[in-house]
Amino acid sequence: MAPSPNATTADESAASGEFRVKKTRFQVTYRLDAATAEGSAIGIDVPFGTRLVPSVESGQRVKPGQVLGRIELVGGLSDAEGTVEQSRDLLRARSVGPVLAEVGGVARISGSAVWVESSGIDVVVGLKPLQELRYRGMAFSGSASVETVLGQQAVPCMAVWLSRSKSDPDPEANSGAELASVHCRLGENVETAPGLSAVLVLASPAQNDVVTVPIIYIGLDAGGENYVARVRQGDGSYSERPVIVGATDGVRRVVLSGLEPGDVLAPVVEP
Amino acid sequence: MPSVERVPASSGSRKVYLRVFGRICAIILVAAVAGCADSRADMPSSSDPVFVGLDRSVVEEVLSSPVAQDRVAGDAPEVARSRYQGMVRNFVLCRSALAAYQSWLREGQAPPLPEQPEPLNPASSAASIARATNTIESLLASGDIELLRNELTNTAGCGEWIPASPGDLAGPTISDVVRGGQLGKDDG
Repeated sequence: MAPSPNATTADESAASGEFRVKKTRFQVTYRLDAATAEGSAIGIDVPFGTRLVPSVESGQRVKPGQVLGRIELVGGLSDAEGTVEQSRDLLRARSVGPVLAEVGGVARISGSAVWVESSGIDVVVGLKPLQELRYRGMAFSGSASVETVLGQQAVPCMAVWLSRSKSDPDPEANSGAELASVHCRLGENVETAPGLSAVLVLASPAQNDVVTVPIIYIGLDAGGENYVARVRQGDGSYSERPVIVGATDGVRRVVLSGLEPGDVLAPVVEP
Repeated sequence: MPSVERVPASSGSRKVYLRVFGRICAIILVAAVAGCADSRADMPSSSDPVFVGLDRSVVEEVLSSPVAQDRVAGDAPEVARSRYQGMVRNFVLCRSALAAYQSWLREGQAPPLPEQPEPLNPASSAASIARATNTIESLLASGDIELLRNELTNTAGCGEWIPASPGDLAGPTISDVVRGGQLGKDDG
């Protein structure tokens, strides 16, 4: 079977375990076993450290494409010097901007939670906690392969969002259980039913000509304030260099600054 | 109280009694020995036709695994042979999945699952091995390494009991290696 068309590029590592940096294309594609389910609302992801300034009233009917509000940073960007905080700031800053209703329905705003009430069929995948963190780190578009009255069909997602179950019905039985889910709302014209197996394909926006390295080459410095890479010097020794990082698919990580094509890295051993 | 008449046995009938008694004793003895024997009594040899087409060293490893022996204890011989074949194939499949996981982490891209060995005489366990193989291939194609990691560290999965290194029955399991973040080959 051919490997997944997921993130990135061909192998750059040397036999010794070193990795030579170069610019590549980075796009995360996940192909996940899923199931169809009745849906009653579409969630709006408001990332941690941001808030939605609404431009509609809670309870107001909204049309597809209507602006619901604008994501803004809470407290602005930090002035921290460490690249961990700087990376976090850049991630938050990327979500700033207008938020549109992807389907029509009734807008609901309650505290930091924002959603659009709208019934339909969703394609749903449960996520483990580590997956949830990673999936929240980037925006996805999606498509789903579902069983319909016309047979198996690949259809686009009208909206993709993450939800979190607010209560755990059986905490003991579900220790380590899936608390979060990723949802894909199917179009009204998709004649399917809840409770069927499906496949959900999620794709992040493609980033061209970015530095990506396997995550084993990125670690934290002794103080835990900086992401660092171990870069080979002219004399063959390695020195830690702070880097600002971006999205990851769990295997590769975008490095936004700190590394240049041609740099040779050794795996980082966390302190 | 009625009296019981004792009939003296003739020497002929005494011989019959002794023969019957001897047979009963023999049957009891055989049953006792069989009952007390360990489960290895029905263990196939590594040259059993059920293993043709599979790696001999893995076959011998599985046959000498106490965990594998426990799993077939009490099984009928044919069932045990089928399960042994399944376990040999599972050892190979699960180690292939581990190698693919480690390669994915090192190289940044999921490799294809290597072609799995097919026994010349597939046992009834072949269907579950085919399903397991499809699962691993599907996880490698998912693009999400966390799914493969979950599969290999699942307490009900193959990674929980199969040793990571061939022949190292007392060593770390595949699950141990994945949880420990070992990257294989030169370990990064």
